Amino acid sequence: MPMDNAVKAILVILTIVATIGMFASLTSPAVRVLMGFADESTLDDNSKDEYIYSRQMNEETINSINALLFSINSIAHYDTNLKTQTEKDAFTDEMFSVEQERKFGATTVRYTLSNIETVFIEDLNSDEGRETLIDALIRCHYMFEDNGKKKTRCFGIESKAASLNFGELKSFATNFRETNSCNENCKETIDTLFNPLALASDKQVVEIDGSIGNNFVICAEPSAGDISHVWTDRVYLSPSLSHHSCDVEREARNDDVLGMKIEDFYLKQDVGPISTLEKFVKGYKPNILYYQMADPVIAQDFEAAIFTFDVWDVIKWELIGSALFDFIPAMKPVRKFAGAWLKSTGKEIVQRAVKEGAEATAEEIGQQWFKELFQEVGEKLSNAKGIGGVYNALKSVIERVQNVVQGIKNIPSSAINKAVTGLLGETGETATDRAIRVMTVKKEIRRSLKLENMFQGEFVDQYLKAAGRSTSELQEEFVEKLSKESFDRMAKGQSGEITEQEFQEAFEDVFGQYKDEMGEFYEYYLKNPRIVTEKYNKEFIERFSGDLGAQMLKEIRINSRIWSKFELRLNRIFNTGIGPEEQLKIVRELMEESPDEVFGEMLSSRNDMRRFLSSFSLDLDAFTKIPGPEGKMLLGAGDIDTFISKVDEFPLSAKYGAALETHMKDLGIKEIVGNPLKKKRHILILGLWFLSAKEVSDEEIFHPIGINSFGYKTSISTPAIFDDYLRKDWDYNKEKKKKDEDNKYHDYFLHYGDSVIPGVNDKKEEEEEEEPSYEEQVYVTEKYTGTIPALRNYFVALIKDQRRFWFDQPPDRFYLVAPCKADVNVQLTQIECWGKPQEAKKPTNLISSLFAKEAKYATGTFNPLLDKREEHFDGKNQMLYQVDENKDIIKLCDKKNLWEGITFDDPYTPMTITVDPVLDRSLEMNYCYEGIDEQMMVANVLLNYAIPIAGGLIGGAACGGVPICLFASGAISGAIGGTAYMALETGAVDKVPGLSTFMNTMGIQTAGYHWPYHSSRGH
Amino acid sequence: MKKKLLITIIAVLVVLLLIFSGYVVYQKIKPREIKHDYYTIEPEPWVEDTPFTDEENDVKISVSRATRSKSKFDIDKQEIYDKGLKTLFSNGLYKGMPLGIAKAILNESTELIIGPEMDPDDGVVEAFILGKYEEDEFAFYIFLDEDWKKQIPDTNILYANDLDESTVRKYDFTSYTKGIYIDKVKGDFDWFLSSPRKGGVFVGEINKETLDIEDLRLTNLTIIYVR
Repeated sequence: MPMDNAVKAILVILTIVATIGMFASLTSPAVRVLMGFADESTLDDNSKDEYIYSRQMNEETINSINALLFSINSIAHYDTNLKTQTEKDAFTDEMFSVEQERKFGATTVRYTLSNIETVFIEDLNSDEGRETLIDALIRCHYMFEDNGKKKTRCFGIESKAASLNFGELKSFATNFRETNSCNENCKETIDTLFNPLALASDKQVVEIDGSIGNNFVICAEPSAGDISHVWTDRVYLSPSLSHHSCDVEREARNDDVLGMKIEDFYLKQDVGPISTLEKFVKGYKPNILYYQMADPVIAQDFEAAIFTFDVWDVIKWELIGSALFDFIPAMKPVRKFAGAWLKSTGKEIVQRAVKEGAEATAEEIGQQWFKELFQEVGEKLSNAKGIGGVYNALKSVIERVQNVVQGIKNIPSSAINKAVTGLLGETGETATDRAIRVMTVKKEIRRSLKLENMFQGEFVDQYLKAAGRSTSELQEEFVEKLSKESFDRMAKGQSGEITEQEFQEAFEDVFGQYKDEMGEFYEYYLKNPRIVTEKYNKEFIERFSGDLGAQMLKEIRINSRIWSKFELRLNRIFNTGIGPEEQLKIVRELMEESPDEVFGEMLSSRNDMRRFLSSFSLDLDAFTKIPGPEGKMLLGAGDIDTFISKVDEFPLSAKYGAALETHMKDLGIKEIVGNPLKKKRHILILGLWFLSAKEVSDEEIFHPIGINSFGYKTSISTPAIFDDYLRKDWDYNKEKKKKDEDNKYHDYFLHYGDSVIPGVNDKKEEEEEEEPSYEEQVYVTEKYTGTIPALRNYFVALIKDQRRFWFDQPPDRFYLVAPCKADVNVQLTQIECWGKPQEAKKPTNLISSLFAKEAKYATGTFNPLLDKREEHFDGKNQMLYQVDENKDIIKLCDKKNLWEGITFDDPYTPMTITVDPVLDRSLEMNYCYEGIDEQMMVANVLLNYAIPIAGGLIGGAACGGVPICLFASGAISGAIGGTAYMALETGAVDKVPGLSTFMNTMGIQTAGYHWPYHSSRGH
Repeated sequence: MKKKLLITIIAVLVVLLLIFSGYVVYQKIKPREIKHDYYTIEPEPWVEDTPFTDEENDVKISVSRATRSKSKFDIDKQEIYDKGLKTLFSNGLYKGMPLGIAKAILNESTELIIGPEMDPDDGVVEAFILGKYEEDEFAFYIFLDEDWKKQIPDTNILYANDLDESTVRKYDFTSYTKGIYIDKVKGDFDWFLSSPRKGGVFVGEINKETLDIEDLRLTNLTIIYVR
């Protein structure tokens, strides 16, 4: 029966990735509440309080994210999909209220159709500000008359501080009339605008209509245009373009460019008192909303910055890295790279360098050494007075470094290169290597196959069992086929990657026999979904092809990275051939550590622990059924129970154990109390999972999430991805059959997020339920978040600091950092990008890898890696892109590299949706983005450049000009300068001895926060 | 009697209402008298005084006025809202030094400023290129200040839809107002509709041979351009 074979083929493929789905259970009450499927009353009392706290914080944030994504999607839709003016008008009419508004909780989105000229006024209370405003009013009157006295949109005013009433305005205009700045024409117009014979404001041409704030518009209207002023023309100052005077004829208002203003956008975060020493040293991790991927330099900046500051992470191995390769501690990418490399190869180096006893591990020796070193730095600096004191403190530390550096110099370069190209930092075919490589390959497979089909995997097992073949057999066959060649090569130190060709060949070998049948099956399935559904498992398919399928996919996407780590950890304990005693030792160490040690301050509170645990949906029993790389169970219940039975009592720390136990109660595992073995098993699994999740969370703050996706990364989870997979109730497959793009997305925008169109559907919502429960809100909110396909043709860029410094914000890497409270302007524009398509340059050794270039492709040309043409926008909006590790497209926009040389190369100018947050200055801790002010620029140069370089030179001279010694001393000075800079950023100046005096000598203000240090121009 | 009075009052009210309505209708349909010629075809009025700044000679080229409010200039680019969005990006170099570096370090260039705000005799070379639709063609107006003429009297304009086939001519310093020189090139330009852009308008010490120089930093040339 051909059909059976075809089904078998497709199911075999799908099962490879299906195992991941097994843990994506939705049985836990806590998870169900989080996902919106259950009421929070199912939680215990303590949890409920904590839950409500975080819920309130999250609600506002989710609404704000929805408001932003709705705005961005709308602009892309309006510009791409809506072709006629009728369609465009219908969209704005239906999706917004008469006042042009849409509400997302407390956040309001208002559309604008004009891009009218903007006049910036720094301070409306100043003479200069008011002169500018009077000038705008006069000009508006000229424009109005020049237009034949038709309704005219004149200016948008953006001011920092607005305090204005008509009396003040008239009084100022009258005074201004008598100055030399006002010529005859000006005098005549002021007389017209501000009727000197009448006092009442309704007898004037100028009128302030409505409550105007920092931003308002100026429009003009002829007499009798509105019943309230039949006798005179009017120049209106009004809050928005929805005013009747701005309702100009279509051809006069450039309606084909849609913009959005978001009022009261707020990404919330519990910041706490950052100026305290504890916060300064330990820091916290900011929540970040980003598009596609973060710029690597910025990502590393954030990881190394105060907000993610972990003293040991930053300095222990990186310091050697800096010392080895360069004196440029301010160049974080280099330092970061060196640090990452040394982290994996450091053991070998330190063993050779330090040559201490065999009892302690190399890592321990290294850590201990640096611990002492920095203790010494700390002590000496705390007593140091002035620059001379700092110099002396550094000098003695540098002398200590020399000894180690000398040891490092003795390492043959061949050993270093071997370690680097081997990537894993260990040589030889150990069991750990095997585990790692198998998991690496499995990860590769997962990426290469379509995850969205994995929900079908559950009945794959049943089918294959009947056919006499096991899923793990075929899986292993493929993995081994792939492993053999690629890892042989890897072992020879040639390359650490599996090539596209190898993957395809292995795939063809193992699964090629089903290739044709697979195609047939797909065709058959697409044509007859109902028959297939009925035949195989109606209930199952329905369950997973609807909401749950999408939800599960989301879970899998979020958890798959943690899963890899988890598997790795399990393998290291249970599948590497070590004995039970060693296993026990590892687990004991793991469980005895206090949560503070393991998770840091961030997760030390019970509340945080619970939130972290609740981020993952786990079916603990399912873990014992997952097939491992060796064809046996990865973590068989029998194996683990045998192991656990040898442990008399699990040595859990109180806080750690309590959090896990409470979480298990939340999961509904009540019977664990009566079953000690099961309890221990679950605690072990949860603990390992917990650690893996934390590890991933630490490492992957900004991992790429692919084209058309927004990720919201919190401190305790990998990014929640807002993309089109989350549009649960909006059936794209059904809608896409509609011919025109306008209708296709009608329902999508109409029901986007938990939004309300004032005057249209607000009352209805209230009638149905006065106060919708949070779980319902989450459910409703998430079902329409995400992006539409049209957005893939646009960049999304943060425009803020490009106003001042061309290098501040790369246009292709959008991100917003919490806390962020702002009014946000979202507009369509074009940006200028430089560079040409280029082929990849693979690194051949450590040094060249620092300068390795990844391939860049131009849209509209054939891409051999993707084996397809990536079409560009509209036949003319060509741009450059890269392909990331998940084979997702990442759009690129490089600024002109002025340091490389100026030529007449052709620039790319792709269409871009810009996001411009105007910060709410009433919020003291308000971040949004990283900016620069003049004081911090000076401080940056002094602390991050001058001190390291000077320190390097002084230290270098002290150890006889040996280059590597020079670099090492530069690195240490860099760490000190960097720490001081962070202190300045956060207002913790007094925590760094001597810093305040030093900065004041240099003319830099140290009082108060420099955080956030945004542009001081007030834009 | 009372009835008569009532009818009279109603009649008067009706007449008043008719007069009022007539007035309103008249206001609506009467031909509008144009008092000001704010939007002009000639470029000279676009160069406006800026009476509120400290410097008397300061001028500003009004992009809005030149384009009937269909365009604006922001930092380094002119956006034109006319049948969709078009953008012209300004840039340049002064004696081989890229403008961006000065911008980055000082937030402004002390020797060369590109943009619509100018002080003609402050010793700083200032220039601005403004693009706009004119009838069925596209025109680029090139504004240079007195300082430019003093420092670079031998100025060329190079323009093309494709730089491989460019046209070069001398800048005409004849048209002049308020310390600003005005010249323009007009033609069938469409280079700004494609990406990547192969054309542009370049003004300064430039000719066709300049286009072959691999690194302009090694020269001592001053050039501004829109691309």
